[in-house]
Amino acid sequence: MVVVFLVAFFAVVLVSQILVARFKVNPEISRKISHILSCLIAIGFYPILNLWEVTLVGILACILILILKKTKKITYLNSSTRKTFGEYFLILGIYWAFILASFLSNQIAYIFCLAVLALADTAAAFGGLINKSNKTNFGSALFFLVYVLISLVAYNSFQQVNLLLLVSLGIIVTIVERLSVFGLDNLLVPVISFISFYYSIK
Amino acid sequence: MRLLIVNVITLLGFCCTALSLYLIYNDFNLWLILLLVNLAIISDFADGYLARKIKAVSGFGKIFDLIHDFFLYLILPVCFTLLQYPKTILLILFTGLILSGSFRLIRFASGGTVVHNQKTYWIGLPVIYNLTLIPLSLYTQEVIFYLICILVLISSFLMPSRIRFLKLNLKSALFLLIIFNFLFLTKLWL
Repeated sequence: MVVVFLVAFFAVVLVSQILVARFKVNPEISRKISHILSCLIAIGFYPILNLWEVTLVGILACILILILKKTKKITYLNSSTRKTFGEYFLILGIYWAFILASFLSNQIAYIFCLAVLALADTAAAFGGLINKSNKTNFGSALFFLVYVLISLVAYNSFQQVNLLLLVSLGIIVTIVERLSVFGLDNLLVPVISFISFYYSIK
Repeated sequence: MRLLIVNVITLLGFCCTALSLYLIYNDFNLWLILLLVNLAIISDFADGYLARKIKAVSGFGKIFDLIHDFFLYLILPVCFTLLQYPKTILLILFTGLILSGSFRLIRFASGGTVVHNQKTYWIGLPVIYNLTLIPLSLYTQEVIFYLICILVLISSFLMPSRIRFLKLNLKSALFLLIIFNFLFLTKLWL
């Protein structure tokens, strides 16, 4: 199964590269598409893989990204103008969310934090793309909006929705996302989303 | 060729780290884990030392070493301790440790050292000190659990801080390795 997941991640990288090279898609948009697809694949980790297998996928995926960046064959990975370790932190963010989910036995929180990472973070990036800047107020507003929408769906299945709680958590996660540097938001956002979700439904 | 030698050493260290993580989750053979962790630490010191010595420092090697450091000095001790003490409070504390450790490693990658009075200092506590969690977590007394919690809190605070720590030379690194082995072996022999 480890090989299957690795091949799936490699396929995501290839698809994103084809989008850039053949269909002239903006590399930043392609990066975000690969983020969404990677998170979708990672949702499948929880019931299928054990802790060691996910650790192995994490290690091999990091090495794969490192080699692909070095060879410069996958151009969209090197397209970012800012100094970022976002690709690695995405892997580590998913990995740590899996560790939390395994030890706390909470699959819903795992899916929730990956949904935030995939959708809210991407919304923030698209907001930034419109203004041709990295972190913008519009992007943060979109992040907040998407986070609250995902929370509404997730919390609704558990309890009566406390809107004030959702908005407060949304503000905290948005501030964290806005202030993070070097792509650390890919690690911070899923971890904070997981913990806040886990404790607010308890 | 010189670059290849250094990267192969890092790769060997990476394999040792991955194998010890496998043993932690599956077989839990402490002797083998001890051997592999020692080999991984030695390879980590050797690749950096050799890269500077034969002038084979590269961007690829730096990031490769950084990823190895993350798994060796953060993931390995954290997973080892969590399996000994599967407690929620520790999981939350370790989340903080992983976050601050990641920040510390990034800063290290972008030149996290200063030279003062001909001595080189690291900015923030180096991640290597997290390895002390491994032998400590073997002692399953309650007081050790609280000690681990305190250590994790202190480490999480010191790693991203601006406090300077004298860079380890070969002697002090060896001393650290001996302490690590002493704590580990004492528990195994007792």
